Amino acid sequence: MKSDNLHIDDSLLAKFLLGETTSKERGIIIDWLDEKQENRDQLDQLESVWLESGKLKPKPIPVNKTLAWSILSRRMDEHEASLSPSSKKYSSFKIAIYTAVAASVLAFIGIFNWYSNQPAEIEQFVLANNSTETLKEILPDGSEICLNESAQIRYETNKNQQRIVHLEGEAFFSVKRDTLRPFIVHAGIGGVKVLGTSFQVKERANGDIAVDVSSGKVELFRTNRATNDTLHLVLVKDESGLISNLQDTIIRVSSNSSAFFWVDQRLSFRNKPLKEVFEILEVCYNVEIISDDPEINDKYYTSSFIDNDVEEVIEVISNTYQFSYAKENNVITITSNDSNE
Amino acid sequence: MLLLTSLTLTTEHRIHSDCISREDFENLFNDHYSRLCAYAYNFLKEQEGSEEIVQEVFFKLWINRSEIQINSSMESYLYRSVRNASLNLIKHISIREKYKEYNKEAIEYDEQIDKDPMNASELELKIRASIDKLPEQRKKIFILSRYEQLKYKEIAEQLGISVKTVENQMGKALKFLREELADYLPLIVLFFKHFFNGE
Repeated sequence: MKSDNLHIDDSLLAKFLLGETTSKERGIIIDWLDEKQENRDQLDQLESVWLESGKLKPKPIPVNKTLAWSILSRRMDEHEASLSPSSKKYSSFKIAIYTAVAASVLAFIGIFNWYSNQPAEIEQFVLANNSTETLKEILPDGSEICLNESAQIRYETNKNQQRIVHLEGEAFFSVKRDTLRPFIVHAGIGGVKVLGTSFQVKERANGDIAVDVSSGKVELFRTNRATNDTLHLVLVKDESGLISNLQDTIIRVSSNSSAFFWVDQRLSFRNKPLKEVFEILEVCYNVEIISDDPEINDKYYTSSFIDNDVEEVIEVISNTYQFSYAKENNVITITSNDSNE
Repeated sequence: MLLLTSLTLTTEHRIHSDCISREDFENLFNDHYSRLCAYAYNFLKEQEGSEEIVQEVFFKLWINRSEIQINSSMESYLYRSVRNASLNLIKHISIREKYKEYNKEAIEYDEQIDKDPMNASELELKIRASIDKLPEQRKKIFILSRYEQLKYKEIAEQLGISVKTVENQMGKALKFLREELADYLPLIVLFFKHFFNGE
């Protein structure tokens, strides 16, 4: 009979340090601390990290250094390119080398208006993912993009200062907000227009265009073939839409919990029966989940996860509903707690 | 008293006319960007503006690198530039009222820490660098909890995620920091133990 089935980890200890624990959890931790010196040391270490980090002045803010550097270095490039004709040649030469080096894995050509006399009027950026892994890049405007396998995009800004992407395949966009320059993704028969948000677009084999919104608001558009009118549909966070090839219309569809899983292992369950949650986890993590108890399977679950492994997800769910689980290789078995007492 | 030696390598860059390479410049940027943004944020209380100001300072430094004469250390040059740019922005901003209060507060704060804003201990730099390394979402959650002192529930509401996720991410953040700072921990823990036992 070891303490309790509640697993003591850094999350629980952090909760304890921040006074977020329930009295039951507190009791368990206090018992655990009394068990042995190492346990107390572990808490001491976390406490020290917490106390020391609090002394920082000025206090940190959540900046994205990589993104900031990419924006700055692009400005530096543009500035350099505008200085003299010789430096223009140099930069195109450098790009050619990068292309050659990168060609085996992916084709990557950046053309930053070194052919134009008027700086910053037109930019082009071509990116293709020929590898089997997700490719992350930052577009010249600072927007982030994740390209799924064998997807490719062409990015440009046009005369009206719109940011335009032509997409083939599947891509996730986290668009840098710029109210003066709408961001437009053209894919197959339709497209998506936004100001600043994150969403993904997938071109299906049958010509349908599927769109899932992760944050903010987007507008789907297409031309109706019969009337030649443009059809629109606005989607917000956690909604999905389909520009149907067959039906000549735009349809709102129920959101897919694992739509963004390929981007950053993101899952978002909204009032889903646990049975369905388990099925989604099975597909995403390539595991088998055995759960025979209808009491558990019929419970409705709402939560989201980013970048967790399957055991962490199961643990969170099991804590919520107070059931137990056992994991052996790729098989997870779920049992209700009443049966073992 | 603990670990007060500063990282001389990164803090003592000096620019001699235009001999700074792009690589050195990138290192300089990486070493100071997040701390300078935090510094600007103290004046402006607005993240996007703070980042823009810091980038502008770096951009100007780069394009004028052959003309700028820096007599003090690189670091104090950067801090001074960021502070001046921030205060100028506050002065020139049309919605002056909005910033008046901040301005007062900022200047008071400024006087407190301005004497040596860049004089950070090795441990402090290490903690900042480790926070910087956290994935975006986790960093945001940690900062909201640690520095904005928000409750898990408030963080969850603000970011549109579940309390369980906040809990999880906080656990991961602290675990990561604990591992990153492992070399420093024995000393700190010893210090605290001593402190508590001494009571």
